[in-house]
Amino acid sequence: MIEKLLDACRFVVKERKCEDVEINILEYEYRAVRFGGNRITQNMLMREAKVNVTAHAGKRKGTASADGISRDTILTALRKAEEVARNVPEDPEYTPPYEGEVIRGEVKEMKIPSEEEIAEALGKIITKAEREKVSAAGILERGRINMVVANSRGVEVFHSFEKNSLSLTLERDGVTGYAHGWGKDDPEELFERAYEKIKISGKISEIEPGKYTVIFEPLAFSDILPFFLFSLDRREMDEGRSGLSGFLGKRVAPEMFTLKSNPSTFNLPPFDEEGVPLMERKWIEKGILREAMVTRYWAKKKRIPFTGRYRHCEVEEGEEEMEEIIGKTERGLLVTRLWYLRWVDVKKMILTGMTRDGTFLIEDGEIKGRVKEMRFNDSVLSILSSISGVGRKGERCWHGWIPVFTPPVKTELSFSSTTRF
Amino acid sequence: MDLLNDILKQVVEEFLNMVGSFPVEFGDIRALELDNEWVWVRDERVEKVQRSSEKGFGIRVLVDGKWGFSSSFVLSPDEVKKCLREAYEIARYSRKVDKTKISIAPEPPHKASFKTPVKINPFDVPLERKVSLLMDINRILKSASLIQRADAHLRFRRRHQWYGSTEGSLIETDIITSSARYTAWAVDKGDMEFRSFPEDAGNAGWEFIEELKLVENAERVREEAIEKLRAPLPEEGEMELILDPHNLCLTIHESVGHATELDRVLGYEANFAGTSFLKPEMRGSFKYGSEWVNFVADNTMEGGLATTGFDDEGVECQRWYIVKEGVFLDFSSSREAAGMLGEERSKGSGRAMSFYSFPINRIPNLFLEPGREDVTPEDLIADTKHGILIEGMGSFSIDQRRLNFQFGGDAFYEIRNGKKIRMLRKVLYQSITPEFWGSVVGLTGKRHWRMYGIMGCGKGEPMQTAQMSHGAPWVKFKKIRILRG
Repeated sequence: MIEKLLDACRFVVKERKCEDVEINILEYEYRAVRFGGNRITQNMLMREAKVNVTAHAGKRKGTASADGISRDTILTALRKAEEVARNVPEDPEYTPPYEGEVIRGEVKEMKIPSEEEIAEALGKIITKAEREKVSAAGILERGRINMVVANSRGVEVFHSFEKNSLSLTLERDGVTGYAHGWGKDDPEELFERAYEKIKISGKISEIEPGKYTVIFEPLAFSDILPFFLFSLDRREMDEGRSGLSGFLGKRVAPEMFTLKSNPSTFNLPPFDEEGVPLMERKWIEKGILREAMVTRYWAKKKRIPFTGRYRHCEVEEGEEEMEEIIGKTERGLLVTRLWYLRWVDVKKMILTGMTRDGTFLIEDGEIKGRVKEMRFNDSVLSILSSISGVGRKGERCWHGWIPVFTPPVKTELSFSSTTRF
Repeated sequence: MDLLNDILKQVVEEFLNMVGSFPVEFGDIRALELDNEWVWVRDERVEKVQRSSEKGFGIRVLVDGKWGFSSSFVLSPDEVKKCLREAYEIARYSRKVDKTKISIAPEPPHKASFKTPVKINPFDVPLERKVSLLMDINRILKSASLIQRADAHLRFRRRHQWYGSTEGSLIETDIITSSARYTAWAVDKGDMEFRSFPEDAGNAGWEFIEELKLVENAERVREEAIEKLRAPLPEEGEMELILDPHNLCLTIHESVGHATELDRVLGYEANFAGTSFLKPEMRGSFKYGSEWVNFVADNTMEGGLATTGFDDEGVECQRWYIVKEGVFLDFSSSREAAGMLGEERSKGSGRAMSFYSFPINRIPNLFLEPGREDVTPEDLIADTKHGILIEGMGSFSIDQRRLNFQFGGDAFYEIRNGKKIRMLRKVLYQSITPEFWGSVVGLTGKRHWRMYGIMGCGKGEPMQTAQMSHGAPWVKFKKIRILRG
């Protein structure tokens, strides 16, 4: 398949009437099965080949996209992109297509699971749910994705990777638990992880909102980190619009905390959408903000190296087991999942969001019981600077904005209200 | 264009010819073309112009009470045959996994077509004109030194679809949507505020853009962004709150629209978008709001983004009350959700993002009806001793059962003794859905009712976006919790 996609790119390069052209192709085929109330609600075979063509004419650019890699389709997209490029004014921030060192990625031939394999995985969950008298909802996705980036300056990079995830929510008498697996997770093991959350039964107590010591399970902390990454644009920082303006080279977290990006952790393409190579970069090293993302335009203007655009990140694992972190907590909350996070103030990096599917009170080093879900309003910078523990075992999470690898993290969080469940 | 129309129709007819040889209880196909044009101008330069085209078909079959779905971007009879076979096999294997059976609410067959009434097709308007409009706005916004960033964009969308079902429906829909938004960012002394206009969309042509008076409002927006940067923070605590129709658009969407989607109540979205605090047995008795509160769903409203003639399951668009005189009456529903509840008919809210998406229960056009008397916003302000007035949309978040929410806004004003005295900034309001709507004490009349379009409502796994409109008068609430952002 990769060869077919590369042929399509070469065809566009050859047929162009403009000076330069960039092509991105995302091609996938996977099965997606949704279930709710212990029954299948959607069972789909998804396939797409999305072609994005950007034409460069003088210092002007135009983009067009289409589905499919037939010659007619991509030629139509190319001509549309060229027409746009001819009809827009010159861009004072124009950047030509990337040329230079590339990392090609890897090609894998991957099988789409059969109906029998999907039925077997789902059957395990539904059987267990019925046996335990819980209601299961979730999605199972299995298949393959190919990505290709090419341009008329000689860049041709490609990568294929698996789509293999399962997430599920279990519910009994209004009490819920969630688990998410990305990789080759065993459905039964994932079921047990979600079930653990609803087994902690008893009365759900309501606690007063306020500042609490919080232990984020990996999945919950993975929802906070994208907002840090969104603020890590060097131009936004230099021009004073990012909450991280003025923080380069300064401490933003304790020494135990290191945040980096490396596509190989997730087996994602080792290049960005322009074909710029992505390698391991440490954004926060031992608590110090070392680096920010720099576009090619800003790099040229400021005479600094460009980095490429990263849409994934990971926290370096610490040394403590989860049980030790909980054991050392006099009073706090274990947060297992967050929901509906939004900026309240992008400049001050203040977020709001809800806890969801299980928040537990810790007293004297032990989980005492479940509490009603709460709303938090707090700054990402405050959450990072208050970190007092980083767990030993990280998990790959991709149930939200971007892929994140993180262990459990202990910090402080300000809650502003509770909800009714 | 005509050739593609013929191909789409042909694909649907091929499916209808072939599906008879498969033992299915129900089957439908959507063959569509989806064109988008985005034009972005930032800081007086063209940031991006993108034209995208999607075309393909999605086939859904119900076999022994189980769904199978397959789709393709290759528009050919062979591909239809392949996808029909795949969908059938998928449905058969679904049956092996669980024993439950889906039954969908019935719908009479329709042979029909529906087109958005358009005076000027936005895709025929030259790109230079669109860029020039956005450049003019940018120049006005950037003409003050404190405005460090100006963003403006236009978006146009055409969704042309042929729908066919084993029930005998053959429906063509051709929907055009136009939208615009711009924002001025004021930055000074380590602080930043922004003001936007108008963040609106309608099922209409270029005339919709012209009626927004984008250039005419740019100077006001620029000056208000600067005023906001210098405005004080609000007092915290409970006070009276007046919301404009634009701010309410989002609050209605989150706290009423999603809460009253029947599929959420049935647990279909429990893993991601969430469930609802409502139950079917609460219909006809649950007090959702004060007696002033009437929410009507209307997918026939001219210009509404969900006004499409028919939904993506061949169900005709309808109008019904969700809440009347404060009492919760009914949900929105897809055919499957309505069928699960034994309803006689779906409410026509089954929508799919594209050809490769499975139709799911979506929020309809949803409106808060105006008050019966000709009350003005000034009347509401004059009757307020100590409160805050909020215009436009801002930060938004709500729990997964749609109870605890927090919203911001785009512009905030302090009201003292019946007068709007000054601008504020960083205002948030928090409440619990039925308590919030239960605290409505005043609404403006029909003259001040306004509708806005939402283009990117996310739901489902894999995530699908949908569009719908919400309308409201200006509304006054008593005792709402105000926080600083």
